[in-house]
Amino acid sequence: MKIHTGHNSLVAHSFLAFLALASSLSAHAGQRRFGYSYEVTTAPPGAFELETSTTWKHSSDGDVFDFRHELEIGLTDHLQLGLYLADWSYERHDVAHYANSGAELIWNLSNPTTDFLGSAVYFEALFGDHNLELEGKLLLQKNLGPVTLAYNLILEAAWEGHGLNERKGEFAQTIGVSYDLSKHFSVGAEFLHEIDIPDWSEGEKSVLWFGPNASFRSGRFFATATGLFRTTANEGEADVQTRLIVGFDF
Amino acid sequence: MHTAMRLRAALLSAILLLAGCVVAPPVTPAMLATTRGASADALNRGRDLYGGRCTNCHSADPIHKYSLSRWREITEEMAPKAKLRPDEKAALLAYIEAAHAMPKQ
Repeated sequence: MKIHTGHNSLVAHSFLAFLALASSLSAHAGQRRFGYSYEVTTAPPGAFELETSTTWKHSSDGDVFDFRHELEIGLTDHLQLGLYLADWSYERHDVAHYANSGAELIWNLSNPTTDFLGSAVYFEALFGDHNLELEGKLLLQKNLGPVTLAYNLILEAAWEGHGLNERKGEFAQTIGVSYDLSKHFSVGAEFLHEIDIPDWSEGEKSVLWFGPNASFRSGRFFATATGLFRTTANEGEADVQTRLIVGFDF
Repeated sequence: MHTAMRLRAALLSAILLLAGCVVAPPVTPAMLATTRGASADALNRGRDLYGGRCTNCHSADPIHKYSLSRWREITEEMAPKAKLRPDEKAALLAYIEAAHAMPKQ
């Protein structure tokens, strides 16, 4: 495993800064406990929430920052719509690139506390300049008192290039465990497993990341941070990736 | 080997079910009998909200953790945050009161 000490220190300092910010605020918002795993519960009907997600990936090729701005809308008791206003990225010494916009739908099927297993299905479509992405997820979750266990199974298909003639796919899964230390604060860990499937033919080598996460909510605000470290030897994949999601409930 | 796997699966299922039942006991005829006219549908709706809407923001506490008067205060305080409609708030309170009247598990 290749991890640079300097980045470890940066991650640690960022995490401490986040914890300090979290503890300085007083406490209601629909919230995400995980940075990479979705939960099965949906926003109440009529609820609006603005979420901004920032992902930093560090690899031997350099640093990339991905940004996503999303408006989440509770449609019914069990159906939530998310509108991706803009996904864009920034690489060092480069300009920002607009990637795409799109929408997601999450349909809750069962309750993670009162049913044997909470579940939901997720559909996402992204449209950009010479790219189209479709993604489906099966979301599973179980709440055991203060402990939340989440599992996501993800399949993605993408078309890129002029004429959208370059095809690629991805299989991924995530596992998240979170423990509520209080009504405002939870800590845990996440695991991410990805397999790229170029040209929808043969899967490349598995890539695994693992790392801690923390989530804070206060009033209409929540923030969730996850730092993942690659645990497999893969050329060109991010050694470290961190994601900060900040949400505000209207 | 298969028996051991089945036992483990059964044990895991029991733990998961038990965890759900302890935090939010299921609606039973005995629970229904403790209410003053609330329907089974309303209690089940309240239980669904208790284990779903409430857990959007935080884990669900066991029903017997607080007194009924404290639960009423909590429900008043949390209802706007969870965007509960009046009928949903009533169903949630009816479930909490009914579950509270049952012996602690």
